Amino acid sequence: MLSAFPPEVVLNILGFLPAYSLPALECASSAWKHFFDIHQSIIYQSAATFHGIASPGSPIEDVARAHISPWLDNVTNWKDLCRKYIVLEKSWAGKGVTEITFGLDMAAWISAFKLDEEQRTIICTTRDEGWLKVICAKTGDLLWDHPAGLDAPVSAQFDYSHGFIAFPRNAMQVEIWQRSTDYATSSFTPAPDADQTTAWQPYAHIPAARGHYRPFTVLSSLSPNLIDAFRFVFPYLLGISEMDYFVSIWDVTTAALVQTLTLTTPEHDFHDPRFGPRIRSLDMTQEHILVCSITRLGIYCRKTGEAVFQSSIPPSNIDSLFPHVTSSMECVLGRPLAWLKMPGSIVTSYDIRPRDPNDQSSSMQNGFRAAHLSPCGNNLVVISSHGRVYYIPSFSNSSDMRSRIRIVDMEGDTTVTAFDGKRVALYSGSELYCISLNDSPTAVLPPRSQPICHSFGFPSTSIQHIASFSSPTEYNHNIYVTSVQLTSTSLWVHSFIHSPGRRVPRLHCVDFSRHI
Amino acid sequence: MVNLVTSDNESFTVEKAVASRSVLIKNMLEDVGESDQPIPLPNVTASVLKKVLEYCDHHKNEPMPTSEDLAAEDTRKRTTDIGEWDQKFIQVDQEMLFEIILAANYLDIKPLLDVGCKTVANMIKGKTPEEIRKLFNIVNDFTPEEEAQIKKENEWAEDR
Repeated sequence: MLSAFPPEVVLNILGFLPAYSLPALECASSAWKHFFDIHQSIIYQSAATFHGIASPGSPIEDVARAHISPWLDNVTNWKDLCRKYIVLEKSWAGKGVTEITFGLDMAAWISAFKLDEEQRTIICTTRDEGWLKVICAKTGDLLWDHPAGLDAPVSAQFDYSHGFIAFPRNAMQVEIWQRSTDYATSSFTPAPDADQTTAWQPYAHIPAARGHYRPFTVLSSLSPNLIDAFRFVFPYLLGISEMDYFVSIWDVTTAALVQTLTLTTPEHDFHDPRFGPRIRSLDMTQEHILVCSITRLGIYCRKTGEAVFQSSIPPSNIDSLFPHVTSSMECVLGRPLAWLKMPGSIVTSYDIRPRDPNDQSSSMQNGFRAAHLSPCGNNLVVISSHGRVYYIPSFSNSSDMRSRIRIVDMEGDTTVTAFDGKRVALYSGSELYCISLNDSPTAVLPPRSQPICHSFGFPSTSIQHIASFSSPTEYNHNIYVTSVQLTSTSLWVHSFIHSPGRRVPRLHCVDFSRHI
Repeated sequence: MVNLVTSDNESFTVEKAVASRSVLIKNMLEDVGESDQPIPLPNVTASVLKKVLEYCDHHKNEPMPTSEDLAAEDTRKRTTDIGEWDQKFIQVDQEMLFEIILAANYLDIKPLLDVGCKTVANMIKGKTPEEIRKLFNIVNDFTPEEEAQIKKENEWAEDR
């Protein structure tokens, strides 16, 4: 083959190969070895592009930089980069050494947190003291906290995207702050209002530094629409009113309200205030808006506001939602062997096995916990309160959906979830799991040679038990997990131990790139 | 109509729209203008050209990929999917497959070149070095020490 073709044709062929198939060719003969030695950089850069790790033509530094973990900091060539990615994916699949790298004793109870992978910081809101803080992801040191003088926000929610923080000032306004280090070089013009400028004044003399933020602008809702929940996907911020599902979308860079629409909703939307806020998750992609309340999931076209995927359910009968799913497709998770103390070295793999058709125990579901769209906008993950996970690839294509939907039943109430397009992390019962959806043709790991459960539509999906947060009853305390964040290299978990008279909040990082 | 003459001196008369799937021929026709002169293709045999023209005929009504399309292809993730008709079309023995790829490269028919290259890539995917040697009649000319060394360097890609 090598002698048959000119080099550019051989390179074109190799451009269609995943990285894990390249070394076998290099090992075939000395002529192949020589070819790989000469063209190594082109070959593996194109493999990195094939897997979607790198954008075409981008320098290797761009790929290496944007990670919260330092695992690519010293990467020098494309082959090494591909090798590291394959080892990382193996690690996620339970074939590597993984450990909880640190458990930070936080001085305060974190309500919510987000990760800035570029600057390697954690942005969080705390319930007890002050509120918006930025801490170093490596050491846990406090880098910045929100200047005093602003009123406490109506709720602890905030969002982070591309160097900007969004948080509510009041029921009708959202403040936007920008990383202070971006401020001078940014092509966007800051337009803080008078209140922001006043609050900022005492701090204005401090030089820009990592983790610091300064006021950028304020987004205002059209009266009388409240902003009960929002989602920030740079450059757009989506705000929604729970009352009438009135949606506002702003372009954050100009503070302009670019779109308003009222989502079409069924008339009877059951809402029991005991379940907390009505809207459980909110998401936005180029084309769609996702609104998930406890009783209803709707995905709407961003242009028209029409529902493209909608399910309204009585709270005990979520399964009627997916009538085309037969019991033969349902799978349950193997039971964890035993609870493990934390921290420790704690990754276990489970096979997915077909569900016993006579087992009705997990058919009682109790409303939606969360729903997430993949960043590419095509795939949907829905999680019910009782731990049933639905994965629906290409949700907007209704044909053949039956063979695409996958279901996994977790054992126990599921409260906290995250989805990054490749993996679902969820806290179910007192266990933390990660489901890897390794089914794309461009996945970094090869598909399993023997899918565990092929006929049920589960090729190359694996579930890892990451950690157990149950505690022996004799200690008389409870552990709660409050939030989870996923990155391509790590899983971040905030929990607190509650014992009589004492509450110890912790932030854990499970770093899968640690030993690569 | 356009007249094409192969290396083994067979001549094919085809519609201009079919022949123009080849950027090489398309450019030649544009350079020459209206002419009945046969176009010699000294790098392509009759059996291969027949196959290539079958492909061109099937795809003759599709828009030609523009240079922007080709540039944009790299900005998307490359997929290894091959269309249904193309898949059937490319089910040929290895010798013919290689000939088609070479002809597509020479005639500058990018979509056909990619179909061929994807097919070869799919043959290689997931195979061990030994299987690859067998597939392409490659002689293992490493010493055992060299082979052990190179295997060790690449073991990260093993074990799925």
